[in-house]
Amino acid sequence: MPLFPIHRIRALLLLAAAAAACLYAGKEFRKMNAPDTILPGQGVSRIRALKDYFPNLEGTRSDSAVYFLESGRPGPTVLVLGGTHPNEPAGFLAAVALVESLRVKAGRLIVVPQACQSGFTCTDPLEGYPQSYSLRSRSRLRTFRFGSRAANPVEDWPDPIIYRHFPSGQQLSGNETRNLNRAYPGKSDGTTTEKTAFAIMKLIRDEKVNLAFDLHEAAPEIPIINAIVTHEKGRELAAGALLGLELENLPYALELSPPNFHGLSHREWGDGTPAIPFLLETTNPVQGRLRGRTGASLAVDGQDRQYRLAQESGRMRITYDAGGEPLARRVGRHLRAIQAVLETYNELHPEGRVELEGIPSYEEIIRNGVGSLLQ
Amino acid sequence: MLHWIYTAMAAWIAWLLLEELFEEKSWRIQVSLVLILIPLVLRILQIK
Ligand SMILES: [Zn+2]
Repeated sequence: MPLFPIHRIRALLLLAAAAAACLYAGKEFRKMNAPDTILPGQGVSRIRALKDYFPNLEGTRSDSAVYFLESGRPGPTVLVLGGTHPNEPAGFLAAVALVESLRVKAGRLIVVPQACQSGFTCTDPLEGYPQSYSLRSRSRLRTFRFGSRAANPVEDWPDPIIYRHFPSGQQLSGNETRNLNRAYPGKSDGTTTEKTAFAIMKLIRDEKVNLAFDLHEAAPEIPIINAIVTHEKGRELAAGALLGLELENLPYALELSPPNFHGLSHREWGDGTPAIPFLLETTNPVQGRLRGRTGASLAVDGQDRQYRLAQESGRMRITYDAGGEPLARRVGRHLRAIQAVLETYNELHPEGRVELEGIPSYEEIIRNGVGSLLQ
Repeated sequence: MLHWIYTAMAAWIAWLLLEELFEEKSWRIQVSLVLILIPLVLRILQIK
């Protein structure tokens, strides 16, 4: 028998191919750890990080930048959180747009574009999500990571079979352990996600936040879409905003936060801090169960044949426009809804207003694309 | 600790796959073995 029979030579060749595949896949995995580029605009007065509120996060995947846009004039403090769920790009991009383009004329804004920073370092298994998407901004081609709904599983691997929320004891499926929007009010010696939630609660208290927004998206077949979810405290403001948005042909539903569903921002921020919370939802075909091929263009253009067919059949209750649901429309909605809530707040509090400048109108965003909001 | 047990298991299975790869005569099975090897290598190297 020869020293190198054909099957051994084949094994060597296959090993070389495997090494090449490992190299390529390894590089792709590593790319997910490279931070996204956010270019602070002239409205940003300082940049802090979540670790400044909870030092335990220092050096972890969960630490995240906190941008301050301060007018220096009296007025309320508004918090905007994007990227609670990193597979919901409109929430993240709306927050980035505020950091890059907004100027605050009265009051101040605090923006955390990547609340669940850890979730931006991986994608959800079996979903076929793109790893990134690109769009043309005012000056260049910008590429952002498309992340996972929950924090990276390597942080607290393995998930428990049942996730027990602290402190209520509410039980949810084990993978919700890594869901930031089930972790509030968090726990200083808990899982990485509970620590992140703890840091955000501390930020809200330390900075005396008056109004807080958590930006989300959901699958087109989810009933709570184009909705403002709020705590009892926010009912009046949300209702006022809803009327204003309706007049602009941007219909929204008003949902009240269920008092017994724990861990969500609109419940725990409202119960545990003086802030009035609002959670905003838009439609995101990438998250939908009906979707066809899933790539970066579906994330940006929001055009999916299966959803179009479902819409045309009239048999499903989905939020999907025949022309698609591009990011411009979803980011535009988030920005308009935030402004509508703040306008209602200003009407009720003429003595301490918040005034924003530099956000184009919804029509302009649709016309010029979502990239026009970015540097 | 769990992390290192997992890594050791991945390394052990990778070694078994390698042994099998060089003894196996059917090219179809060899291709399958190599495909299974890729994620294990990425895990042993702490990349994935
Ligand atoms: Zn969400």
